[in-house]
Amino acid sequence: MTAASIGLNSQDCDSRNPGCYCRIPATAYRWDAAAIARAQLLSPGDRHDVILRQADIISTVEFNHTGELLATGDKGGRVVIFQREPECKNEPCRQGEYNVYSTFQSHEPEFDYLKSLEIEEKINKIKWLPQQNAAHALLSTNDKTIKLWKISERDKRPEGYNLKDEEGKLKDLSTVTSLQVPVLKPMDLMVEVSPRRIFSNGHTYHVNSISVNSDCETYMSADDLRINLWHLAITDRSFNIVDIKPANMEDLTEVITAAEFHPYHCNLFVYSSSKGSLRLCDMRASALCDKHCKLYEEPEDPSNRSFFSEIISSVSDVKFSHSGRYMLTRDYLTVKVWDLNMETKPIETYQVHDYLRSKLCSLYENDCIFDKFECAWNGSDSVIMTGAYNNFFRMFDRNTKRDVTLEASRESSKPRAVLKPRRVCVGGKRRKDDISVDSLDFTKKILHTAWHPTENIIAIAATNNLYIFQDKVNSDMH
Amino acid sequence: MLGKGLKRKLNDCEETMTEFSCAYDCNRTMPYSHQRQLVLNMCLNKLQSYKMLAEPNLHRSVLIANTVRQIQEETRQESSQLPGVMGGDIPSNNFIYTGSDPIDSSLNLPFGINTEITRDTWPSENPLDSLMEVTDDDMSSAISSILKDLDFVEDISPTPAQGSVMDEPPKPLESGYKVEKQDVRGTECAFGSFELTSSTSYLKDLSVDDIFDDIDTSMYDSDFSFSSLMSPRMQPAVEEPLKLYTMCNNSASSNLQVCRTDLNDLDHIIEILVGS
Repeated sequence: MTAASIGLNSQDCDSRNPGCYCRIPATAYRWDAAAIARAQLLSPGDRHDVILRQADIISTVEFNHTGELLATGDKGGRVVIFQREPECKNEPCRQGEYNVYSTFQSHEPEFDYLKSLEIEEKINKIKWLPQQNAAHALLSTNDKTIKLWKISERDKRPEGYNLKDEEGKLKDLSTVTSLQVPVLKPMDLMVEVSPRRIFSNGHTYHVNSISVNSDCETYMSADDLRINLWHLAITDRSFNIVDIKPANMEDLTEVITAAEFHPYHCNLFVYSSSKGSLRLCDMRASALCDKHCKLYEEPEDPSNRSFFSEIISSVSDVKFSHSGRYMLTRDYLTVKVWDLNMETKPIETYQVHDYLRSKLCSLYENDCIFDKFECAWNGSDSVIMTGAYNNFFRMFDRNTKRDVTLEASRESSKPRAVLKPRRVCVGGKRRKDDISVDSLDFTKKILHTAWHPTENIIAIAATNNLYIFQDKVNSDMH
Repeated sequence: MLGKGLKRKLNDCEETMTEFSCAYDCNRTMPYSHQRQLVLNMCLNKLQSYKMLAEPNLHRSVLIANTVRQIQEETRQESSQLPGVMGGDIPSNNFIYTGSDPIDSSLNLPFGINTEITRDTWPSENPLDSLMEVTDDDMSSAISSILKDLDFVEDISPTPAQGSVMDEPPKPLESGYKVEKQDVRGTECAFGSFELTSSTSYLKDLSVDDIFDDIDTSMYDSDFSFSSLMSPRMQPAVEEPLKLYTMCNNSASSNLQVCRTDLNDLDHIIEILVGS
């Protein structure tokens, strides 16, 4: 499969209001039913009339390790978990549909009275823990506080307690004349979400990344200037493993922008910086990893030098490949693949939207230049994906070097519709359906994307909408 | 043009800024010094509005501050190059290079007009003042470092403005400069030197008529050399590099004379402008 040939089927879910998180039977063969079901979800009037609420903007998307669950976090502090419909032989088309599984409020707005600062409830990152038992667990974080949530199912309830009645009230002991063994009776499936741990007071600055270690016991959290290492069971202490805060804040010129553990070497982690570099650290070297063991940095191209060179070279996301051999980084205009064994330059560089290079001043003026786009690997590390403006997202096939621009929009992605590649025209030759650089909508940006760990299913967060696309070829084979 | 559909505050200064940034993006031949001035203005604008943000963002602030630092470093290097040029120990063709495209400066407006324009692009609130008010947490100290740098810039500012052409600062112009300073206080004052030095070739590619079509431009062609109206740094004009070069090596008294005439001409121009 090549990136350019990915025919994607769509399914989109409205996360505009928590009441909308219902099961949406949006399949091709049931297209009418789907339309009705979704129409009912909406308040009267066209859905486009509904004013976009800030709180509904999706701020992170993450598949779990099997891909069965997909979690999204939003600016309102909510976490919505989608579950993939189990495979069904009668209705093969339904396979791959993600429906709302559970919704809960993860973080609430807070106020730091000492610093007189509001702490937003916005969910910055979600990470799933490897599944240890029937229950699932995830970490969610806002700017300051990380929380561990347990998500478990219950489809049976015990009945026939000796000392409690149906409502759970204690029985009058005098009425208990005989003893019985309580029995479990089936009941409607209930998803329970409960907070298990709250890791607070670990960060002075804004947490931008969390990453669970392959030892399954620890995780790290990175803010602008520090990285802390936590044990999943211990909330009252963490170890500071990186600290780049200068003694004098006036000397501050660089911040940490993202950090991640190596997928299977539990001692290795990488963090990216606002100056465009990556630092690989080995926790075996010392307790405080202030000295990196490898520094990945590409010399600046003097021909592209401008006032904004540093800003656009700031790394907004870093992801290890599943194999652990490569790292994927995103800066403002490009995605780069780095080989862990080569520090001097990336092995591959892909232009995401090079036509914006001549617009940098305007993008600086309207603050778009500070947007933090994320990037993702596919299951086999052969295709990479990242977001762009105008609800576009880009895919690059590393083997064929082909790339494609796709659009996540209601108009173009009716359920089961095949996405058409889009093209941004630069210069004179404008083909039909091309969109010119000047008419791109910079308010519609795709910052957060996720790729199913093994299959060709992707999740795209476009402001307050979540789009799930599936590789058509793949799904037809089922 | 780029900002189509963008949420934008609808005040005049922002709009003007947008025009400029679009001009920056579209007009690749905009003089470097003016590009730099434009970026610097935007940086300071952003730092000023920093504390109004609901979500203070260290990452963003650091990037903006680094951009300011970069521009500042450039300016500092240029200003340190200039005294050598002044000494006359560098060939005259080198003299043409003063870092800010002197070739273009022959076609220019008096600095009074330049600063007028720049001032219009700024919000009425004084950026420096408001930056001073930031509370004393760590974040603000990062910003205050920028402030300190700004102060430094202010200290060295007369050097590029005056030293570029004359050995000794001409008094009449100096006083004119001070008046200018009183007009634009705070950051604008600190960066008054930037405006003087780096916006010299401001209108290189934009025709004067387009921008100031209400100004009678006929006078530019007539009796006096336009370049003589420039601040001293702006004088290196193509038409008279020789004259200029001689001026550099001349005694201060003759410089004074030149500048007095400049000032008179300036008064004259301002009269005309105000009249129109």
